[in-house]
Amino acid sequence: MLLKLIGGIFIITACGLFGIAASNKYRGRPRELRNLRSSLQMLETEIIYGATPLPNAFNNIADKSCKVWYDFFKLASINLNSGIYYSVKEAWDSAIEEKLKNTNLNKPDIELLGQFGNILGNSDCEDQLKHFKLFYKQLEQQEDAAVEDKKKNEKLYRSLGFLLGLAVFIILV
Amino acid sequence: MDINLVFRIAGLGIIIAILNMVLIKSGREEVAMMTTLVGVVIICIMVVSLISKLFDSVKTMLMF
Amino acid sequence: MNAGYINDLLKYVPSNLRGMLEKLPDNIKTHVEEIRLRIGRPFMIGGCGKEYFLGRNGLESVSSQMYIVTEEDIKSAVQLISNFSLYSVEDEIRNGYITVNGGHRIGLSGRVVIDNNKVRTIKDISFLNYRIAKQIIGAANKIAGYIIRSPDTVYNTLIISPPQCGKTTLLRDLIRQLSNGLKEYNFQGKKIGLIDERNEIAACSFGRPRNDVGIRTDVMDSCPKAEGIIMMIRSMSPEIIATDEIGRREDAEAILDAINAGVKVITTIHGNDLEDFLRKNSLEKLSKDLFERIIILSRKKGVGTIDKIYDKEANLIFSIDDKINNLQNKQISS
Repeated sequence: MLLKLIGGIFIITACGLFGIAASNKYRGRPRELRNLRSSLQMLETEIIYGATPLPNAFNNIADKSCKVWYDFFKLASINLNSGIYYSVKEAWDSAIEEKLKNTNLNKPDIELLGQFGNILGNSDCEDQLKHFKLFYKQLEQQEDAAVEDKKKNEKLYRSLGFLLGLAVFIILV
Repeated sequence: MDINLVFRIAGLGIIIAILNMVLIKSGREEVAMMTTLVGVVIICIMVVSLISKLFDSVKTMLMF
Repeated sequence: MNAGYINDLLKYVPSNLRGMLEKLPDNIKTHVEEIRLRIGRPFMIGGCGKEYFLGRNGLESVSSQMYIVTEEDIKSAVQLISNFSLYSVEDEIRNGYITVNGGHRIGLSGRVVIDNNKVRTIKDISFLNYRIAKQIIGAANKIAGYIIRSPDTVYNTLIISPPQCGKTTLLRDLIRQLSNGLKEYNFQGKKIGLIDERNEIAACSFGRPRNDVGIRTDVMDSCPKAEGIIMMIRSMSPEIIATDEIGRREDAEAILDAINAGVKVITTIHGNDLEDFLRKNSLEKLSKDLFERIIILSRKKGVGTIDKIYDKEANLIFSIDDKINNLQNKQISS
C-alpha cells in the first residue's frame, strides 16, 4: 500500500512538473518579446541618432539587455567582427540559430526576427527608421498574441499536467 | 464487490469534470469533449468485467 | 614602402576577390594604387600608370579567364566597407566616397537619388574604386624650406595639383613637419588647425588621427571647410589653418576670413597650373597675391613631383625643368 502511494506521488509530481514546464513556455514568451522590443528601441537610437556601426551598436545594446538578448546581441556583434560573414543577414541568422532555438519564442517570432536581419544596416537612416517602425508593429502583434496565449494556456497546462497525473494514478491503482 | 472501484470511478469522474471545465474555459471545447469521451471509455473498460459478470450471473439465474 | 597598405584594404574586399589579390606578386602589391570593381566588368587593379587584370590565379592577361565582378561581390563589398551599416556612412556616401581605417578612400558610383536638388544618397552602387592612401613621411622635405618664412612664421601656401599627384600626401607631411617644428630651419612647431572635410589627411576614426599629423595639430574631421575654419579660429587658436581641396565660394570666404584674422593658411586645389586656379570663378576672392607661395605638382618624375613654385607676385622661384634658374632665383629672393 505504501509502495503504491509513493509511486503515485511520483507519477503525480512528474506529470505536474511537465505541465508547469509547458506553462512556463507561455509565460516567458511575452516577457522575451517585450525585452526584445526595448532592446531594439535602444538599437534604433544607436542607429538613428548615434549612427553607430552595427557591430558596436549590437555590443552596446547587449550590455543593456536581459539575459537572452544579451547572449544574442553579443554573439551577433562577435559574428560581425569575426570577418567570417559577408552580410548582416548571415551573422544575424547564425546568432539566431545558436542562441534563440532553446528559448520560449515560437517559430513565427524567430522568422520575423530573421526577416528583420535582412534589412538591418542595408539602407540609410530614414529607411531604417521605417523598417523599425514596421517591425515594432509586427512585434506588437506577436506580443498581443503571446499575451493572449499566456492567458489561455498558462493555467491550463499547469492544471492539466497535475490532473492527468492524478487520473493516471487513479486508473492504475 | 469492491468498494475501491466505486471510489476510483468517482475520482476519475471528478477529475474529468475539472479537466472539462478548465478546457472549456480556455476555449477548447473539442478537446474538452474528447476528454469526457475518453473518460467514459476508460470507466467503461474498468467496469466491463463487472458487467460481464453481472450478465453471467443473470444467465445462470435464468438457466437453472 | 611596403605591402602593408594593400593589406589594410583587404578586409574590405569580398573573400573571393581577396584571394586573388593575395596571390599577387609582392612587387605589384607594393605599387597598387587602385582596386577597381565594376559590375559585370573585369576585376582590375591599377598602379604606377599601369593596369592589371585579375583572374582566379592572380594576374591574368587572357580576357576569357579574367574574373568578372558580380552584383553579389559589389553588395558584399559595400557591406564590408560600411562595416555592415550603410546608415552610418550616409553622409560619406553623399560625397561619393567612404574613408576607411588607415585613411584609404573608397569611391562609389551608381544611381543617385536626388531630393530637393541635392544628392540624397547613391542607390544601386555598382562601381567601386579602392584608393590606397600612402602616408609618406618626408614627402614635404623639399618644399618645407620654401614655405618657412622665418623661424616664427610661414607663408600662406596653395598647392595646385591634378588628381593623383600626391597633393594630400604632401600636405599631410607638410603639416606634420610644421607642427613638430624643424631643427634645420630653426623653426618652432606651430599650432595647426586641420580641417579635414574628407577625412583623408589625418584619417581619423572615432576622432583619433590614424596618420601622423604632428604634435601640435588639432583635427576637426568630416567638417565642412567653411564652418570648420571659423570654428577652429574661434575655439582652438591655431597659428596655421590647413585644409584640403577648396573649391566652393564659402570656402574662399572662410579662408579670406582666416587670413584677415592673422592666421596662416595652407591649402590645396585641383588644377594643372596657376591659370587653372585663376580661372576658377568661385575662388575669385582669393586673388593670387593672397597666397605667398603657390606650389604646382605634376607626375613628370613620378607621383609627387614638385613642378614649380611661385611666390606672391607669381614669379617662378623653383622649376623642375630649370634647376640653375631656381638656384639663382632663390638667392635673389632671399
